[in-house]
Amino acid sequence: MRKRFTATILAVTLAAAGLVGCGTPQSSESTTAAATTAAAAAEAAEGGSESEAAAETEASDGEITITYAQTSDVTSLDPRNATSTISAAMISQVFSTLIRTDADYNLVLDAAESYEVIDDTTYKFTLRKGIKFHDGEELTSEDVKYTLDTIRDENATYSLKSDFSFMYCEPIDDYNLYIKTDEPNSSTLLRLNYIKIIPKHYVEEVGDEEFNLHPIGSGPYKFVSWDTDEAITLEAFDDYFGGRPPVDRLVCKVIPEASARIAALEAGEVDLIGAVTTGQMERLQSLDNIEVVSRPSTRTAYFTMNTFGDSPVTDVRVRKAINMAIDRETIVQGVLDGYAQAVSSLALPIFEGFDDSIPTYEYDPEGAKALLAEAGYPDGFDIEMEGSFSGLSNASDVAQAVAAQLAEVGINVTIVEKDSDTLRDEYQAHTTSPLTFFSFGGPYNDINLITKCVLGTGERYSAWSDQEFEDLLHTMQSTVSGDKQAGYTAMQQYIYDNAPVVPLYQTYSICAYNKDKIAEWNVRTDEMLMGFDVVPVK
Amino acid sequence: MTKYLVKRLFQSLIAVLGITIVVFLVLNIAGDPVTLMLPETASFEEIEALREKLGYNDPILIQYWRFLSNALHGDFGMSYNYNRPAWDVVAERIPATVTLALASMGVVLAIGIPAGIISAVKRNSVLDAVIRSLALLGQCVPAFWMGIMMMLLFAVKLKVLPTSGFASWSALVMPACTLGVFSAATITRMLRSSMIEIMSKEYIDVAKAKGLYGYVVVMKHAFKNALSSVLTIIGLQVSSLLGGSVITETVFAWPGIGRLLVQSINNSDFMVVELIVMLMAVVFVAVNFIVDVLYCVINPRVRLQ
Repeated sequence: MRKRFTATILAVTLAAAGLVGCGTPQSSESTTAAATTAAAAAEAAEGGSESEAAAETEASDGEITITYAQTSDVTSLDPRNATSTISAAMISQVFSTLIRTDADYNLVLDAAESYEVIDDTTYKFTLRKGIKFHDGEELTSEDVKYTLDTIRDENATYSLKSDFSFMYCEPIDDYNLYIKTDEPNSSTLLRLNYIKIIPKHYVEEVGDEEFNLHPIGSGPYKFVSWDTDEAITLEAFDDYFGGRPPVDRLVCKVIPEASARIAALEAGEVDLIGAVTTGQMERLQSLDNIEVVSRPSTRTAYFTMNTFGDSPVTDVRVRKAINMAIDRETIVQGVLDGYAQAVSSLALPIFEGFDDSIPTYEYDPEGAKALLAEAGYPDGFDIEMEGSFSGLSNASDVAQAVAAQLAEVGINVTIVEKDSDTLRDEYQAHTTSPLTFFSFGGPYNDINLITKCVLGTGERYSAWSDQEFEDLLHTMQSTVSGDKQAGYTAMQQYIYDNAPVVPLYQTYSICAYNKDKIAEWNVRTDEMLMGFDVVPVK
Repeated sequence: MTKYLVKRLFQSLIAVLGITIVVFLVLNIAGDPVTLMLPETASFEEIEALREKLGYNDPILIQYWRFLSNALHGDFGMSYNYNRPAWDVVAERIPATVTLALASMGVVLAIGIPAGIISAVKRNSVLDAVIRSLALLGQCVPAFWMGIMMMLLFAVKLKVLPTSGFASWSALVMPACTLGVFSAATITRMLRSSMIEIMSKEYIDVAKAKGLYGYVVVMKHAFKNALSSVLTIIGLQVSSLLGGSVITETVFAWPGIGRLLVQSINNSDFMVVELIVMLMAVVFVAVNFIVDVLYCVINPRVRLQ
């Protein structure tokens, strides 16, 4: 009996092994992958005690390590797939671009020494000489061409394709090149910030998959290791064309939980954290060695109004009345503890072309009531509001505050929470609620992008369609040289006059750092959290 | 008995197949990942074109067949979020999850079994009351709260353990305890009631009457019999631990499968979600099968059937 039992077990084990063996093409590779990961984990486990030891001896050999915490891991280290802000931020430290944005969202030259606008579709760039990739090879025009060519490649599916394939590169010689666009596009320079120059020789040699795991760039930091969902380690690049950065080693840890990030900062395990919520500010500010810093970002929270149905918001007077019935300042102070900037325009003051002479909707409940009466709603009406409120900090409270304010002018709001995928489908089918809460931002947001995505006909987050708007959008986007401001101003005025959207506030990025390790650091406007611009304590 | 085990194995395979159908259908109803593959700003035309190109407009049966045959060849598709094979993305997280599962199972057994036995043997004593209260507390306290409290105490105040991560063995202590406490409490309560029931059986009285030592009676006669009822629970706990713990992994930044699953659901990273759910299902089925085998080993009555 026992023998038979043992035999059965053996047979079952063999059968199971056979089943596993069936997955031939992948299995040998993936086993290696798993084994490598296990080895890496073991190494990391050892490395942990080593790095603690290293931290203790820091004073003697003077190596400076700064550890910072992100909310989630990067999805890719290949710049052509790095659409998420977290990935883009990591990559910005490893790669360089022709032109980039600084912490204040100004365009500054990076790998390029100079540029000039030749015509509406052509820019001429001159590269700095002697820029080295991390493997010692020199960066030339060919690398820029290779980067843009692969993004544009018909058969490739890089994530950057749809937003960036409008441009291409024509090298003149090793250090001079043209960046050309299919159509005139006034956002080209800002978009170039996302085109990190990849080394043609290396990518061609090792292939995309290997490049993604072991990237080589020409930025201030060299890639050292990536432990998935755990940490990425970078090391200062001695030959960086902008000079060796002051921090020798950057470690970016992934800590998804907000309270855990703060605990890690308090325990001294990380030196810099992002995504601090307003509820935690008081506690952090009470700690002696912690500095809390905040700054308005490129992200705007707003309501779109669905003008396709037969709801009251199809009437421009109602849309204006809603804009006037909301007391944005009270929401910012009362709900967001002052950590946001009330705005009544999609054009943020940090954007090129922002015109402060355009009027905005001020809080005026009496005026709103008068407009509603004029539109035929003297007693107000019932309306639905929806949104994916979990995506943005305190958004659900904001929605309720807005609903309460609208109730005061007679508009009774029912709030419905939806997930963002459902909302996207509804935008496509033009079936969103009359009021839909959304936020839009990111590292290459500008007036062109936000107005197009939020109000353009057939765009993904738009519930509006208007031919005159489309013409203005086209003029604004295609004016590269000449009087750009006229287009921007006309667009802002048109949005004010037609009130197709209810802008609410510009969000803040809130970060905190350890003053014992970091002497100076600024929050970036573009929502990217990076450690490369840290000024360490000597 | 071989027949019984072969039958169980066959049933298990059917269960796994059924799970693939359910997972595939549910995810298909939820939508497709095409919007994720394109940046925020892509137009509807671009989305529709990619949908067509990748076959998301094909009839569902064809899509399912494609999915199943690829899976049988070890091809679980690409993770859209990571632009890498889904299997690679998941496989990287397996060591972390298995390590945590084993460690917390250790905690469960080290606390649950002795506590359950003591509580049953010293029934209605002060010790029993304390154990029962602690077990109740262990089941009531939410994992995220306990995790954060432990973090504040051991990492921030006492500075004896790291707050989070997977960097050293000491980092394993808090997540393993957080995860283990709940299951330990369950095991304690289960084992206690099952031991009490068995201790009132006649054969225990016989054993005692034979003059056997209390220790032998408790461990050899009572505990071994009580074990079979607890085994099912332990099996379930092991499978759910191996499937990754979403909350504990998130709180302690543990790079495991549970966190990946939630991220992938949020990002509609279909292939990864499908793979993880299937992996979990296979683990559940496999552990159940092993539990059945173990039943045969420890309980002769099952063997004879």
